[in-house]
Amino acid sequence: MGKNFKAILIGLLGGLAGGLVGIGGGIIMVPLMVYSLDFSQHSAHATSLAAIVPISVISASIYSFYGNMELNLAALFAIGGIVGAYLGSALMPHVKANILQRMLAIVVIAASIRMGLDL
Amino acid sequence: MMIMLAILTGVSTGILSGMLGIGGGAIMVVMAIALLNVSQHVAQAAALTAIIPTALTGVYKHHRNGLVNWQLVLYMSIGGVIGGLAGSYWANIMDEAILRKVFSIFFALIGVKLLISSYKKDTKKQGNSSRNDNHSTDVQNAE
Repeated sequence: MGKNFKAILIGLLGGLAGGLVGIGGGIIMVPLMVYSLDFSQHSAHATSLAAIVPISVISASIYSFYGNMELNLAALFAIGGIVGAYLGSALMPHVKANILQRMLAIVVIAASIRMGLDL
Repeated sequence: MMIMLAILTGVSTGILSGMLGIGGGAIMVVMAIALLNVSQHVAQAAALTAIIPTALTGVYKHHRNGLVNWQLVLYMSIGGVIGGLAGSYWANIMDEAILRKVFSIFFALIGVKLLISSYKKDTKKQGNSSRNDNHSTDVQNAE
């Protein structure tokens, strides 16, 4: 299978997942790029981020078409997100990332079980 | 009040993603539902839109470091746009309760991935210098 064809397939899967659950699709694309296209983690991340832009634009348009877009909410998220990302990177050297990550992982898994089982 | 909570959601998601190198989209969805009482569909739409400026900033930075393979971006985008159309059409015709369950599966996946990478960081620390550790956090700043 050619590299470009694989790239189309990876994009397709990332787009499907991203559009379906409202995430960028990187969680699907990055590992696939590393395993099947011999990308380094770093460059897979950078390249997938660029592909996330058109995926998000097209998906957001569809949500908007169905009347599910609240632009005010999206704008507030975006503004808060950018401010938070700066704060987070500044804090990064001062925290034990692996411990925090593990704590968050447990919260995320618990929340997903709660959501999935409707508890 | 609503505005404050929305900004707070964005800021705390941003802090987590900046600090831990995880994508904020999914956490934003969960927090929006819990704090702001919006529907699953509206939360997903807002997260998808909020990702765009953050991703663009990241791409600009990575492009300057020569890390973006633009030819593959083109091909991935072709697939991505088709997939994105299909996936979001599917989500929008789906019943909210079912969509929430589908979302929770992906959210669990993110949790497991976080757990695994937190252990990878441990091993790296033991085997190598802490310089590598910083690098891997940056690397995982995907999704």
